[in-house]
Amino acid sequence: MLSGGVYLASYLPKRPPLGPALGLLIAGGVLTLAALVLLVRIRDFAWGSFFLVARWALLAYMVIAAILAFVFIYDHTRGATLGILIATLAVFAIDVPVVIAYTVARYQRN
Amino acid sequence: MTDVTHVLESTGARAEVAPEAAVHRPSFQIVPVRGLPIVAVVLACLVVAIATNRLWAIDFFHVVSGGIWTALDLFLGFVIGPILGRLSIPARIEFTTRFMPKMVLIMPTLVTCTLAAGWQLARHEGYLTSSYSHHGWIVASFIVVAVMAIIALGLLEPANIAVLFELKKPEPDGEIIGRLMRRFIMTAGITGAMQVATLVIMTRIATT
Repeated sequence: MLSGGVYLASYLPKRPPLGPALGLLIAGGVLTLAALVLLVRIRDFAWGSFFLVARWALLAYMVIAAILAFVFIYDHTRGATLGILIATLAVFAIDVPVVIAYTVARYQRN
Repeated sequence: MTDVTHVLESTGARAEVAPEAAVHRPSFQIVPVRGLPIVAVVLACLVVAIATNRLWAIDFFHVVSGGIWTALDLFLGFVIGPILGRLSIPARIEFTTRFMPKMVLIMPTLVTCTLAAGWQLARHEGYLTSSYSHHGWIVASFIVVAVMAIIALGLLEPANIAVLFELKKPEPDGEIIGRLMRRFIMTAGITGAMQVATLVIMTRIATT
């Protein structure tokens, strides 16, 4: 996700070729989904702790992603570039809370 | 408690075994609720600074939060980390329970302010355009920040929060705490070293 963000940002304010950024976004999204599927399949997992951490971390990272999205919108980034940047931020805002919540929950008793 | 004493020793501390009763854990909040209004005010000021696009305000946010972030990373990785490894176990536990919750609020706030204000500053000054003579340095700073973000968000912060959850348990597992603290200190050292690269890039951009 971060590679896609760096790639897009290095071109702004010009319109970058969107293929590589889209590819990285899709790859990031697929990997996040795969991580979630693998997570759901774990037996004896402390889901209570996972959701406790995940929901607050999600709130925090949504705020962070929203501020970064605000900067891009404010700077007149538009169209497909903005769409990919916001989708990248959305995956980022899901990814990090999942990593934090998993790290906490794996050490908790069910 | 015994577990904590036993395993924190294995993190490289000197062989100083605290009596069980002496290993006291102060009560603490994982996220210090009293600090949240301060974070909200800082973030609101950041949004206002960006929305008004005043050079002084965005420069202030970028320089102040970037400077504190860099200094904290270097100080944590190269000064606090080695000292922490040599403290007695009770002192280490007490320091951790008082210090780590504050970091849960401070670091994400500093990082958000630095990145958002830095982006706006670069935009304001025309540094983002690929025609800018030091565009390569700007892209290099993106890459350094991305690597630091991967380490901080994927390893350091989860370890920080997991340690706090473990310390909240009636009987914390010292092995887990030891392992996570090693990860925390190691990643703080790596990001500290990468901050040196940030300093080189930023001073280069500012002076040439």
